[in-house]
Amino acid sequence: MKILFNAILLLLAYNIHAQNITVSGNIIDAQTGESLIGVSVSCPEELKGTLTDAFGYFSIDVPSGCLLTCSYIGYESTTIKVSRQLIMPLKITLTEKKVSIQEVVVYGNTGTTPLEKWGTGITKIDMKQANTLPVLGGERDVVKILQLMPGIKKEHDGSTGMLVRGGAGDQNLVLLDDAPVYNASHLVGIFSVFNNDAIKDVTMQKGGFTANYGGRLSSVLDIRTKDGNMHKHMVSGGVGLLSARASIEGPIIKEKASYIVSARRTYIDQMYKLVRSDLPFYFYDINAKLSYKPTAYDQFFVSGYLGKDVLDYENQKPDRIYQTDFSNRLYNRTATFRWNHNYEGQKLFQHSSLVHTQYRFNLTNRINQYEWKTTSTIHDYMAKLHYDYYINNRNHLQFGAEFTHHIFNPNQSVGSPAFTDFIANTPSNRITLNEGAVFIQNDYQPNAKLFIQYGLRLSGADAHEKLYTNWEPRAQVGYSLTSKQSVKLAYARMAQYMHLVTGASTLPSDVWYPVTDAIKPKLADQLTAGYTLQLPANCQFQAEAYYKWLEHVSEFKEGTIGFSQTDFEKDITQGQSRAYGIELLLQRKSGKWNGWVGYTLAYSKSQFDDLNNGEWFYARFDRRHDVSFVGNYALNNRITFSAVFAYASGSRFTPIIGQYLVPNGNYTDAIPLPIYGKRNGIVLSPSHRLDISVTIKGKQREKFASEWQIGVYNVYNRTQPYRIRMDVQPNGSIQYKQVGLFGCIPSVSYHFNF
Amino acid sequence: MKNWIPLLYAVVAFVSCKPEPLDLSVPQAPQQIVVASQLLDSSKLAIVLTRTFNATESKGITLADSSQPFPEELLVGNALVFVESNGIQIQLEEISKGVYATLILPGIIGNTYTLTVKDIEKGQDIVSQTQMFTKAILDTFSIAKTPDATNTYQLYYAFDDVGPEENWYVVNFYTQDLARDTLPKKPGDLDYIAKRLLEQRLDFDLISDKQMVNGRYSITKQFTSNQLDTFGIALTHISKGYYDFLTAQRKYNSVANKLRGEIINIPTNVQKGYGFFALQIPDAYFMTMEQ
Repeated sequence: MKILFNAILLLLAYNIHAQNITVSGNIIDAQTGESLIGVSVSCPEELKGTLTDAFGYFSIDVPSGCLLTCSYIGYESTTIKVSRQLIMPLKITLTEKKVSIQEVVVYGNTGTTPLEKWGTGITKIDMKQANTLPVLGGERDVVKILQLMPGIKKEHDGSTGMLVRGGAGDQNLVLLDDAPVYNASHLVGIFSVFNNDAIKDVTMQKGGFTANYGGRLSSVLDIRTKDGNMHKHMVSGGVGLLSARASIEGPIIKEKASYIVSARRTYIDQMYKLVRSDLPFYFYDINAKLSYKPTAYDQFFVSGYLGKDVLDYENQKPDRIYQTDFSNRLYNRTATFRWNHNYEGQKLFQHSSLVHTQYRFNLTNRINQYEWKTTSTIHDYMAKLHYDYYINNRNHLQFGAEFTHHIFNPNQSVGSPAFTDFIANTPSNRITLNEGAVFIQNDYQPNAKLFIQYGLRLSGADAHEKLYTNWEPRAQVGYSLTSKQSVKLAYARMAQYMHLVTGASTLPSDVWYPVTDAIKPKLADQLTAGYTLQLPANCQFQAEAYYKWLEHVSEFKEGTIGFSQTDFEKDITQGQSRAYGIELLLQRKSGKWNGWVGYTLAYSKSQFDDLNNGEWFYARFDRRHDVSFVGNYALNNRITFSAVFAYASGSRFTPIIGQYLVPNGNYTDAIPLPIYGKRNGIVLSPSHRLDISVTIKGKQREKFASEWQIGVYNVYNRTQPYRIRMDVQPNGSIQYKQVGLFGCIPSVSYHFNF
Repeated sequence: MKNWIPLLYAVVAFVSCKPEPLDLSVPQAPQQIVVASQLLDSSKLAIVLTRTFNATESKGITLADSSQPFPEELLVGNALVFVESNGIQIQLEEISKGVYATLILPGIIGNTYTLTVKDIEKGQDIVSQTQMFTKAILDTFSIAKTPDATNTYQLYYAFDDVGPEENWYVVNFYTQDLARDTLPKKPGDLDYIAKRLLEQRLDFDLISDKQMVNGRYSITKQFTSNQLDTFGIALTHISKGYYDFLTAQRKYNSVANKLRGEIINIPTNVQKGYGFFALQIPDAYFMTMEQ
């Protein structure tokens, strides 16, 4: 009898398990048809949940009868009763809340998926909310918001270059719809190439990297653009002090195909002419995307980006003997074709991409009729295949492969004979590099308290005379101590097969080089530990500590001119770095008052046999303390006040601490020579500034919405040192001055959509 | 019109609010001795001893104008200067402040020589070691005015490698013009930079034996001069260390590096000092253009 009873229990248990239904589908915005990323899909009574992926897809095993709840900040939640009669894949629409208090949602781990809840080093930005913060010149820039987060520093005031956890600027993988972006900045780093109007989602990983990402050491910034409104045509745009932008989107076939085109152009050059000054610079960029959903199981995207920076400086003056011109052009192009497919088993998703990206910069100098021109280019042709397989609610398997064919032309210089005495002509120096990787990763959540992610990536690069391969293990563990506290630990090894080598100077002449048989790939091992505490009043506290070991990092040898190098292998030296620090974040995510306070204590140092007499030295961007206070106050539904206070310890530089004279070769003159101090041995003055703004929404109308944003950047006009100027006095002495780039800048901008 | 006023205000404010640069205090290195040496032949040696000075303090030196006399406080006077080799030590005489010489140096090619300086005034000592190098012979050179250009000259010179081992050389040039330079020498001036770039002035040539063909080096160069009057050329066989010293000097003083501001640490073979102690015999020739 007992055996029979146990058998019946087993059978019942099997049946209960067997009554689980795999629910999968796509969640979209009811008004625009845009897929929504990061929507929480949960069955609260079963304590099961997941989030939609980068394309709005989800899959979850839940029992029949479960009330599946879909919720997303800023949207009305919706509930679906699960039954076998549901036709998969589901298409679920969420409606934006009509009345919502402005809030900045820059959250760390607040999602309900295991990775976002327990993973380390993840930062997400909600594009709709981030536009309230005051930024330079009123130009909304997602990268400037990221730079206010702990662990993410900028190179100098106004720069959009990101230095993440002690890593140099080239160690960030910046993806725009899967396409790598080699230079994510306009105007020597003052504006990023990302037009907020075109962006749907921004996610950054700075630790605990998942196995599907690789190729860079310090961070992954994954930016997804909008698909375009699937229901109606819309126009949006804005006019500000420095640029104007416009965006148009709409359906090609309602509910199935859409387009979006966003363009931006700055007119700094024209504004300077108004006040009879000269800054001959402008940039423009264009984002475009076509989306097509022919079936419930398939989505196709074609997206592209085109950007150009132009600086043309003419020194044509009649009283000058030599007429000099200088011109600098930057070009950025990306193109992505992507196919997402949901296999009818509903648990298996395939994402495949074909990508092309190109980056090029030209420098041209002219003196009278003589000209010297240097060009550096990179082309990438890439194919990616990524599978998501939801084995069950405890296991989410990801696997895939990618391949990239890189074509580098690091330095092509052509000049008149007058120049070639000191900068040799270099013909086209085409170098190719094939890079590939395979990966596999599993997210395992045995219960509501524990989360384990383990994965392996095998990457390699064929540098013709040498084949490099690297195993890159990845692992994360998260554990909930209580319902409000969790701890996490992560390890990741990353490999990078190309280097952006910079000199000590701040002039824009950075050039990308591939690995070769002489120049090895960079490697990084990062260990991260974190703690999260949920506090009352919708507040959260996070603390993370990290330690990073980096090998084969690259610098130019002393005296290298950089962009004029003819044989870069001989002029690059490789060494090691260590970076470690602590990041603290206290944030309030919603409410009339919201915002965050972030603090970073960070160290970064390097050692090269060929530099600084082989001794360890601090990195140029070792800015020890970094503090950000960000606050929003929603006075009412139309008016929001915002303020940002940012403080950072000074960056470092290498001073001349003495001079001496030596005779020239024929003893007819004395030549001054420098005595340099310890490399990066001097810390500049700290940077700190206060920015304020007010956003005023226009009256609510059915078809037309507008808002004004009025702000002041650097309210008390503090100098934010970004470079050192050596003023040579008439008596020959040298005075060091720390020069700032921007002072107090008021701004006003107008934004609209209809 | 009213709506444009705030925008105009913003524009004006944008271009007018430039914060003042901040001063930066940089601790300076303690003063040390700098060595320069010149060997005329294997027995005649001159050593010039000077001092380093602060980059941020004026010492009456105008780097832009070399016509000013060398500041006396930077010369090392009353020092005890010795050169020793194989147990034989010679003390150099101070012939003027900072300049020490001997006419009886026992110069033997290949021997190692140690320079010792005791600066009594400041209580500093320095030591340096070098070898005496084989003299290279400049067997061929010529100079002529380029027929088609007014101020352009063509120079040709050639010499043989001194031996099968790795060798390095420097060729120095001396020119004296009848006409003055039309532009004042202002290193920061754009016209000066352009002039330096376009006008092919003679500097010095650094040569390694890897540039030689069958053990011989030859080159034809063009240079610009305002009515060349006197010309000099000197070939010296030098050490690798001195070659690196001159290479670093050249890089630091190049126009491209002035724009880039790269760090270049100048090598030295002087312990607790700067400069270079070298025993290298030049093969030098001077001529007037009439000759």
